[in-house]
Amino acid sequence: MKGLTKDVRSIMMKRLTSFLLVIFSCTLIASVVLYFLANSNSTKHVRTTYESSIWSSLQLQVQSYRFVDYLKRLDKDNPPAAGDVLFYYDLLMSRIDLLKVGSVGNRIHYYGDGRSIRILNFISAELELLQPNIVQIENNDLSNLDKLINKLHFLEPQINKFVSLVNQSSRAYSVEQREQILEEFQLFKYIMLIFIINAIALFLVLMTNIRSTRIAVMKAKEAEHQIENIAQDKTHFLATMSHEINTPLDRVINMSKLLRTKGLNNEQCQILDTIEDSGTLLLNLIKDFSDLSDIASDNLVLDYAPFSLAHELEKSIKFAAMRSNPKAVRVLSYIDLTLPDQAIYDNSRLHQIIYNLIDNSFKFTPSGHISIVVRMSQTKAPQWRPSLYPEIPASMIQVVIKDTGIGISDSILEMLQSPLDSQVPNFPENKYCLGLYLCRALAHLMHGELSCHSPESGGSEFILELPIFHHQITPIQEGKAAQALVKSLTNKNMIILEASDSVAHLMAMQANALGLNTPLHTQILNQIPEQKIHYIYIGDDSMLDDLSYINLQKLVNTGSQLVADSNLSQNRTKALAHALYKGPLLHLNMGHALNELAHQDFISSQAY
Amino acid sequence: MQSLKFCLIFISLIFSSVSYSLELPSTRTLLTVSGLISNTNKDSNAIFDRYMLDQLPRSSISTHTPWNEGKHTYTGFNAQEFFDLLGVEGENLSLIALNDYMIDIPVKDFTEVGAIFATHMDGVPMTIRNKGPIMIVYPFDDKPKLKNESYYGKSIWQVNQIVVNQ
Repeated sequence: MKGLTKDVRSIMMKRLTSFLLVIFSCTLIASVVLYFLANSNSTKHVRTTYESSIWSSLQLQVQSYRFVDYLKRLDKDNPPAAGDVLFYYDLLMSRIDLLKVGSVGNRIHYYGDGRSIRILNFISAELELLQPNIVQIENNDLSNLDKLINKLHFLEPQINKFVSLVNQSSRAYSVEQREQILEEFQLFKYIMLIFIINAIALFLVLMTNIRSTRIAVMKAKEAEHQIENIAQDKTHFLATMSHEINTPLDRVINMSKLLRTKGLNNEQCQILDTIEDSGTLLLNLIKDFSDLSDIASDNLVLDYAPFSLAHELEKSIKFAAMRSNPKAVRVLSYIDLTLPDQAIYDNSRLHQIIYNLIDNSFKFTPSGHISIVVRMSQTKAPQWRPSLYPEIPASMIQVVIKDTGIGISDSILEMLQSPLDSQVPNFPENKYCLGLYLCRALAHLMHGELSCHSPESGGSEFILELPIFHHQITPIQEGKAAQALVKSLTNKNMIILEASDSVAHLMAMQANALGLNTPLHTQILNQIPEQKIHYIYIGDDSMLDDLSYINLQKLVNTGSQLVADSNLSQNRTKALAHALYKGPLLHLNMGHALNELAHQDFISSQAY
Repeated sequence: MQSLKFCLIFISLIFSSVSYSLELPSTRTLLTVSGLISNTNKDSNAIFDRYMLDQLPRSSISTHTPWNEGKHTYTGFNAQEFFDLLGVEGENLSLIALNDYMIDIPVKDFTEVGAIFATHMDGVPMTIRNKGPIMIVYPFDDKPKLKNESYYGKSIWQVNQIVVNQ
């Protein structure tokens, strides 16, 4: 409720700020517009026109007085100088001309409801009629001088009336202007008042907003600090819990192992299996939680060191595969022998990822096989380098773990494809998510990437892209161990008897990489190949018929070495086999097994 | 012989200097200039009739003005030549119109801004009824910054007296 009130208050403050800003802008614009209108050129021009009309009308009056005064001074003893009468007459007429034309003339048309222009026209016409008398006087004929003076006297009231009308109109205009200015001033005053009040209100609102923001920032900092403390407490708690639980759990697992040697029946052994499995799972879960907590608090330190890549990879795969039921799910690996023999990487974290991914595949694969393919990746290596190896060259490897299980659920896919957060996400209701999320977080920490999808063919596929570092690229196949192996197996022939096409294909890849030829991979052996067969590998004998066994016997008699999976269904296969292969079918391990068979002159069942 | 040649040169120089002095007008006086001038022709004033003014070098401006509709060509005598002729020693001019209206204009308005003493409009002599005999015209069209009340006020017409001040 308190939060809701805060939200409403925040929205109200935002709306108030916007409203005040709009008022502020409007009053500012209005005051500017008013200022420019009051000072516009058209206003100034009108004012000038009124002033000019008053000035010109007064000048008309003055010039008429001067003209009369001049004429009164003329007599026979004081005749006009040449051009003087015309000069005064023209001067007077020029004033009338100025009042008739231009903007002054236009304005005078409307003074006194048109009376002013009528009077002016009358004055002008009367003065025009005086021109012959003017010329007469100019020629020193003063006979009509008194008549002219009288006529000018007759015009004086008209001129005075005209000046009065112009004055009245101009005064009316001045009053109107003053009132308008006062109105504008009042308006301007109100606008400025609103402007100032608004500015003060805006200032207060902004100050309130700034204060609220400051408080919010402080609270956020406090919350961040609390979160950091909680994260540290969580890490500490998990570390303590892991340490405290580890010892008793180990004791439980070891005791159950010890109990197994005390002559228990099958049912009791199964109960012990459950105890051991649950104990191990619990230990791994605690370890995963601890790692995730370390990653979230940036406390997980990677340990980069040189390792034999192929050897360590096969060790990891073998370790993960040991927990499986080999009768139900077979594990095969293929390692590209062009990968660097020695590489610098965090082996324990790569082992952890591979273990978790294979473990996950086992849990979702009730039967079939899990294949692990390791090869060079086409992805560009990152710029990042381990602190101990700042200048070392880098390559990307790709580890693909594919199973024939039930596939991966959409919720887990969504969780694994969502952006990585510093906080551990809410997992779907599936306990295996933790391991997968940890794999992804570890891959990200090592500047790699883990992706997954469910192929149309079924099962699930995890693709790990990871940078490894190496000074010199010596391929695995040129390494000390593999070089002799490849040399001894090159150009020898091996046939593969396998029910699954995909397993047979992977086995052929393994054999070909070791230099072996694989002229035949089939489910049944209907006929004997023409060429010399050095090795026969039987992965699945469920499809083999009597004819196949007759042919197999013939091949064994001619010196072919037969290696078979230890979990085969038919006893006839075991009877023929020179060696039985137990556990994951690892690439280099299989090579070593074949090589050993070739160099040992014995025909007996031996498990690897 | 040598002394005779010298005397002839001296006499010719005296006559040449007389030819630069102002003559008296033969018709009605249109313009009287007084004040700080070195060249006069009557009672420490310089007076001019229309003929004398028309003999001075000409200057023209084509422009609009607020007082006459449309664009007109105003022609008059060149101000710099006029000042040189008068030997103007001041910086300001007081111009007085026939109705005794007076306004002060700096000399530099004529020498730098480009104002002229117009005596003709569109080739026709300006009469008193047409703002003559002399009207001050600024180049309003060529220099729009002159279009303000200050320069409009200085455009005085019916000028008949000029007083040169400091």
